[in-house]
Amino acid sequence: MDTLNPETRLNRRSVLHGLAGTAAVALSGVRPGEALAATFPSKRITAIVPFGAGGGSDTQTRIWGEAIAPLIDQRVVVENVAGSAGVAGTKRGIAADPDGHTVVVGAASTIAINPFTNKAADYNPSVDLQPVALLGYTPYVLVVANDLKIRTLAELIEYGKEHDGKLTHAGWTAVGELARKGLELRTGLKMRPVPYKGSMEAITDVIAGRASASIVDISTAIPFTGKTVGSGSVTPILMTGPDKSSALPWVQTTREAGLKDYVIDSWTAVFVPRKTPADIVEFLNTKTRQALKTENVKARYADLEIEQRDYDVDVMQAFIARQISGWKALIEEIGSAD
Amino acid sequence: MTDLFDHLLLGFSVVLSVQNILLCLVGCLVGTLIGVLPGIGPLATIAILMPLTYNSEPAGALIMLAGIYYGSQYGGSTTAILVNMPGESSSVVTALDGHAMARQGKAGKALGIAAIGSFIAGTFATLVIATLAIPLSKMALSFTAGDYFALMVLGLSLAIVVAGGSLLKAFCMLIIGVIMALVGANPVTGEPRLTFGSDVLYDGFDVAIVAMGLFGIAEILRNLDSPEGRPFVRDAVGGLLPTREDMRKSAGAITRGSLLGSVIGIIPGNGATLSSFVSYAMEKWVARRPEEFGRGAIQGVAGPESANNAAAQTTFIPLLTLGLPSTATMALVGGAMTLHGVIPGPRVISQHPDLFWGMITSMWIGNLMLVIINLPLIGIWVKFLKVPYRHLFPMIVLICCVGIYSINSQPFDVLLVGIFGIIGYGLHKLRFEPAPLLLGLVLGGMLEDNLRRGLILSGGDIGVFLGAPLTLALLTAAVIVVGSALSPSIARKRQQLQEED
Repeated sequence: MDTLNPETRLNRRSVLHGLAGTAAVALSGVRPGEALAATFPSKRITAIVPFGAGGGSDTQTRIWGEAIAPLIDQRVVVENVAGSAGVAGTKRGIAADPDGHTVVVGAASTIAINPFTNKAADYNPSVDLQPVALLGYTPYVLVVANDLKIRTLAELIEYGKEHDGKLTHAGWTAVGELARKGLELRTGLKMRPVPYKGSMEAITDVIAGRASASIVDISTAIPFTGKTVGSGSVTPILMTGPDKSSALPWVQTTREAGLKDYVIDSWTAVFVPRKTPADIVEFLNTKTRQALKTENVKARYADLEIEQRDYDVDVMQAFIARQISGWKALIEEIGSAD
Repeated sequence: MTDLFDHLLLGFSVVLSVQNILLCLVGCLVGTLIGVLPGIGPLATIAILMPLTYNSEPAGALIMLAGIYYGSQYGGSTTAILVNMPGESSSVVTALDGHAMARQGKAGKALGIAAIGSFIAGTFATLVIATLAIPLSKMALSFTAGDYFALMVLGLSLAIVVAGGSLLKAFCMLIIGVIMALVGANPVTGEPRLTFGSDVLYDGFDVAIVAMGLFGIAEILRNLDSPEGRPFVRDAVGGLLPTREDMRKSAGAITRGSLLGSVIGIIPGNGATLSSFVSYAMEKWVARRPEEFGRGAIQGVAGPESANNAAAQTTFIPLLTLGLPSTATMALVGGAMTLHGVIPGPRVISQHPDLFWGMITSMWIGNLMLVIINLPLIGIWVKFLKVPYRHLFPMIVLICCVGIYSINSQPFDVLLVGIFGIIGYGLHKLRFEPAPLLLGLVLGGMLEDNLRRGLILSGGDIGVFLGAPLTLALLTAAVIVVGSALSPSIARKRQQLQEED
């Protein structure tokens, strides 16, 4: 029966990780061996993707690999190291030689969530990994079934109060579950969780009205939301982040809805082991941003509804730190609320 | 009707690019090759080649993988006829009369009629898919979790019934498969289940790995069991073109085979193999002189060959319209689609029409290629059979290991293939049919998901969950299927079918 109540474990573990985190932050910033960047890269670059081939992160890594290769005069080989929900590949990336020839791709799940929820993830991303560059950013959106005739988050909360126990949330993967619990925590809304394997399955049931709502990535939602208010087969009511979406300009953001400390989104970024020399990190960051600006990459990103964000190393580092602390806080709060 | 032609036209415009035509040809040739070779089937090949398709367009990749699948049906029958060694299980019955014809010096005719029958059946199945796909996928969108659950129960019941050997053993295999599907992270909470504290089991069992072990490696171990027999190949193949008299005799068999195969292919389980057995039984039953069967009756080749080819194609229907892989091979094809960002399910047709129709029409083009290009190459394919086992088997094992390692870069996966190979060999010795295990593994996760989802949506009320008309109808059908297999007269028929194996 303990599967029904994972939060107790989650809580204990996140406290432990929290302690480890504080101890480790003091040790960071050590970067020996700064001199060898002049000849970098001297051989092909291996990009470890901690998931099986075919997911969003994998696709972005392959697009990036193709685009950056001519700029650095070396091939980029993508190696899928799947296992333990991304933990195996991330650990292999951490253990790689810190010379920039092995990079590891990270996402919210492997960098900011697993360390606080997954026992196997016995690493600390803020200490073990150095963020290099952001490959892509995907906002999430809360959609509700059309037949509920709900247009805003406030209406959804109202509806939930009037019809106790009637709302369901089509969740998928650990992120979807955290998204739901977080929203409940911030708004007092209650939705029964219904599990799905993927966002496409989840949104299909929201379209059919079998589930009330779902928090999905915008690439999944766009084909069904319509181009204007009320024209889609589902109703988007909230961007689960602070930014407006150009594709759904009428949809409220968390800021507009008055939701604080609640950001659900997904991103893909390149990391290297922490001890990698700073000038190599700088070099990879510059070349990556250059590669992502090519027309071919832009077109393919547009197809996939992935946003580009041009971050230098410092901004990148701050972005990742914010992600880690945000998820950690949310996970801990969810853990202690239950 | 005009819609149908528009769609097929769209499909042709996709297939008829230089790259896709080439990929289709490569798929057909590779398929034929592995169909000819024992020990390596379409499943293992697709698993191995999947990583190679990352960099091509999704449509091209799927066209090639599909080509491997139906191409292997051709290859399998070639060796069944010429040397009495069915390369694939779906060609087992072809060997009965096909090889008898070869002994009478009519090998060419047998090969010819097999190819012509397959082509006609392939054309028919292509049309079946093209007409059924849209209504089915529309229907699938209204399927509830309960309906899916019941559909899978029905599929698994059929899988037990059509598996060889005892029902009880097949049922055991199925249950083991379903339990294996539960290993790994709990889909809702991420909590590890049945992993015995081991990280490597956190992601569960990979279908490709289990299948390659249970079928690929186990098949090789089995072949090592028996002393190597030199395949007997007659040099004189004779003319490939059947006479008018042959055609007259086969026309009915091809028609019936196409129909049967198309229907049986849609049903979960190994449709291609089952349909060839059923077709053979049927031809024998309708024949004016059943005593000719087993002594070179051309209908005994034409019928099953048409049936297995039609079934191999319609097997794609559940995957492409419902998102339900009905065999392990289809589970891998579904994996390959996911890999290219196309999620198998009712939305494939509306969201990726070029890919869907391209793949459907490529099947027809591929069948044409197999007849025109492949038939004259039969001599070359047969030469592959003369490669001694001691060279062939280590090579296949090596290819399997490299292929598996390249999927996840995990050494443990390679070890697992070996373990499952030994298990598969043991199962064979104990006369357990591993196919239901694999199907249980493929469908088990979805079975759990839908059961859980359906129960949550119905508020935990099992009556509401199972009481929906369609759900109830499908579950009743499942009960009837299992019940009838237990009835004495049908049980005897099953027995007979297996003895002919």
